[in-house]
Amino acid sequence: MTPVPLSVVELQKAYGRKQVLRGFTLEARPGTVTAILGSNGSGKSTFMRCLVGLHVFKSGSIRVMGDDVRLGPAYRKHIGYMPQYPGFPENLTVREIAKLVSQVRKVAPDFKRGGEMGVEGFLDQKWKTLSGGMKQKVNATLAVAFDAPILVLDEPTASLDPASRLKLVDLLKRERNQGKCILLSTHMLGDLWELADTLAFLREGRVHAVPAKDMPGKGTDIGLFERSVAAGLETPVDGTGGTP
Amino acid sequence: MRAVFLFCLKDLFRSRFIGAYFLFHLAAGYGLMQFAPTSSAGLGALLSLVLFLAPLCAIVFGTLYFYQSRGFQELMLAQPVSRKALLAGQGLALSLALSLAFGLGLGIPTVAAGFNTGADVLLLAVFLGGGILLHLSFLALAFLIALTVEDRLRGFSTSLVLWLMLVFLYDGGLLYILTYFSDYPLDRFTIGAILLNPVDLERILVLMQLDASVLLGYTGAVFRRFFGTALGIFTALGAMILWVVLPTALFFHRLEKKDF
Repeated sequence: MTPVPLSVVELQKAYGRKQVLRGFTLEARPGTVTAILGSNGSGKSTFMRCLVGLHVFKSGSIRVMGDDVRLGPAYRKHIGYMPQYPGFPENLTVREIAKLVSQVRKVAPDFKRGGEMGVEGFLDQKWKTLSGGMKQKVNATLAVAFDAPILVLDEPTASLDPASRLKLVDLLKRERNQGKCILLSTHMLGDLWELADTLAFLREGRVHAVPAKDMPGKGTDIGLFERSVAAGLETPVDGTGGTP
Repeated sequence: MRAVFLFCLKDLFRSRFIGAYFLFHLAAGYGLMQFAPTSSAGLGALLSLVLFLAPLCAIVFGTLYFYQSRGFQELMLAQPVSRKALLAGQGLALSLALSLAFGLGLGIPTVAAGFNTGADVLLLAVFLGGGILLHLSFLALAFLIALTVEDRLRGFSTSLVLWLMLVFLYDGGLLYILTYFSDYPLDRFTIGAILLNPVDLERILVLMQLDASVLLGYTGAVFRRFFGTALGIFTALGAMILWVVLPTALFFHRLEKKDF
């Protein structure tokens, strides 16, 4: 039986005395986009960082393709990660950066997967010469180029121009249709309208998951949809799929 | 780790700082060797420069490098690579780049000035080897500080204060104690105190090889008795190596619990 790509059970994470995640539970399936939503400081980034191994957590469990993430870094071959602020050694070219990541992952990158981002046009430019948007395109391309079954994206469209944003949304739709399990954190409600299958509202360290199709306006009225998502961030949402 | 090490090294070799660091040492080396009355005096002047600049450059550049590569570390830690392998690769690359810039920068002019025969080879080895160990120990301290202190400004300030303490204040304090308690036998205390500071260790080791201990008076005689022997040299080298190993071990211990 194919394992669930991502299963999080009763995840707890505190910074000193401040408890940020209090029994965070979530499951994500192949071919779906789950949006992690919450107000500033609600723990979205904390969860994503626990998932990709940047944060150490004390209790609960995260399983990626059936592997417990605490057993070592090998599980991360299943994850394509796109952080909000990408960083690479300044004097390396994009080609060298891709080579470094491919040597660590032991898989050759397939730039055709993220072809619409146009990274092949500046493969030989040094990282320090790229604009913020270009860096984010490299970041997006590297996240998908290794054909990882799970994509974790932190504010993926934040520094992209409108045309590039649409291309990235199309790219993510295609990845989803090819069976990828996508988790994204975003404040761009328009992205949710186009991409999200599940909205996971984070409140007081717990998740309230709502199917996106149940949000008012979904599929018919983007303004209404965005207002209902925003309202969901303000008011309690029940965990059974009820609308706010 | 190998891939991270090689690519970080490539990045560093292309950086302006490493090139400038090499050229500065090369120019300083040729300049001081050229204008000093004797080559020993030239090496003494270079020693003063190294004791002042090597710890400063290593701790400042190490701290900045660590903070500047946080984005890279975060991205790479989301790949199938362990924390130890990633940071060891980065640390080794930085250590090698700085050591080469320093070692070649001062090695070329000193060898050209004739420090390549007989006893001079040992002197040069102690001078350059100690200088490299000094770089490594301050790089290890820089990484430890940058890992521990989240705020960049505070981390950078901590590095500068530590440099100030080990390069200036420590010797001032030691001198004060030696003067204040001059009526008491402080030979062992003095040697112990020297072993606790890598900057002093490099200074004493090179001065012993330069036969300049006479300039230090009675203390010089005490140093000569201990650091002039094979046991003393190995103890001093061991202490310098410990100054690299201990901060590195503490760094890797803390790394496993760190939230990036």
